[in-house]
Amino acid sequence: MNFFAFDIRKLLIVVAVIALPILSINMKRNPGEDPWYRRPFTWIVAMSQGGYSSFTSGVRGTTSMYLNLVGIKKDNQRLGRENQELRAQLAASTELKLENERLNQLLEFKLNTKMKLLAAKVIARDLSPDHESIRINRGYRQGLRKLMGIITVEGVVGYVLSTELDTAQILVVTDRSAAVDALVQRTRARGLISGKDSNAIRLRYLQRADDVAVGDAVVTSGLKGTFPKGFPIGKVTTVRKTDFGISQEAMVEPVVSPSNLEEVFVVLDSGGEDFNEKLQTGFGPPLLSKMNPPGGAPASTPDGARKTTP
Amino acid sequence: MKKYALLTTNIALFLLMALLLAAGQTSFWLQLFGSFPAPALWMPVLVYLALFRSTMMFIVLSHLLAIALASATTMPEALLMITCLAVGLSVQTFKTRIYWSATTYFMMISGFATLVFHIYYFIVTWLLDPNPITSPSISAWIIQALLTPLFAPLFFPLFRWIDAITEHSEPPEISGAYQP
Repeated sequence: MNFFAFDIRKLLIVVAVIALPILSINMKRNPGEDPWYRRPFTWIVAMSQGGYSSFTSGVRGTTSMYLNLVGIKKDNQRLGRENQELRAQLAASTELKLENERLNQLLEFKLNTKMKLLAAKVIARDLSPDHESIRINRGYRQGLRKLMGIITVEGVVGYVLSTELDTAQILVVTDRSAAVDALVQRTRARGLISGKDSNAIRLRYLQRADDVAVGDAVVTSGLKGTFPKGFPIGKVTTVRKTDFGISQEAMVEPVVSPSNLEEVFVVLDSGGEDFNEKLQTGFGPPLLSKMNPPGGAPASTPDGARKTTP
Repeated sequence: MKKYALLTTNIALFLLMALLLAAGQTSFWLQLFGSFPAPALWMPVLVYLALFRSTMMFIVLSHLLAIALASATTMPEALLMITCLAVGLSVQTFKTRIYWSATTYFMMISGFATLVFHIYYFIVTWLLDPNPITSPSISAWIIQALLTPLFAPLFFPLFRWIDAITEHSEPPEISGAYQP
């Protein structure tokens, strides 16, 4: 056997096969750049991968769209329900916010007055549309007595007509049977308030010579302590004076509308409160504050005397 | 003895119904619809008693009903009694002229009675009250008269049921056994 008698071609091939990987490993590469010989392959692979990717994502998209369509009705119903719930929650929140504002206003009023007040909620109205009475959720167990005054932050509501254990019937000033002693704030002319209908009350038994004008504020006289003195009842809208007789009558627009009442105060004790004095500090019901801005002239004469024109 | 117990139960149940319906009208409706005029939910009770009781029995029941309802209003009790009586007797008079036994009749009479009630009360205040109604709430009257018939059919089966459990028999002229 001729040990050296080998085929030179085969030897070269073997050497080349062994050397190529070694050469390849040791070849210096530029990072981020494919060698020239690989580029066509890379291009083909990239194209193929792109094609597959587009195809599979297309298939996946179509499948998921189909699956979504199957579930979309359920989602729609669920979202609809959620929307309704959120709307209801929003309405409840708005209602709570408004209630909170009202109660804050009531609290502020209660804290800034000498009166002993008891907050109450309106729970019912009168059976007949021709009568103006309400029922509140406070009765004689909470200290309510007949003829106690009922007010809101804006003005006079009425007075207690009858009491039960935990409720009381209130006669609103707009009822035709109601009667409240009143003064015209500007001139201290005294009269008697009685109801006409839900939007109007009458100021009766004014002396013929009394000075009463449209726009005058009508306030409580504070007589008997049922109401604080000078608390608003309404605003004069018309004055009627006949050619004969000893008295005149004025129509008054009440500051409190019985149809909008929700929370009220029961005046357990008026504590000698006088809102004519309060006007100097700017505190008081909106009507009085509007008509008598703080720092302006006092609403009443210093001695509270009744001024009449001849 | 059982007969009187049943009669007392019947009357008590109708008064209770009237009070519950009046409370619903004055309180429940207020919470739901605010100041919008409420239907006279108690009126179907008065109408039912006028239609299905003898005149004498109705007079007694009408007065009891007015006394019970006076707790839910500031209407003077006496004026309420007179008005309820006048409405009921008007319904009975109407019944002698026109009557058919159907729910539509009960609905129609309930609406008619509601409107008539307000008109009679208005007249009664001018006759007997020193402080009569000067500004009647006519729109509220009409709305009440239109709304009441919508609710009346709901209560009719209940009233029949009360009569059935208390074994109340209708007067002969109602049941058809009346022979003049």
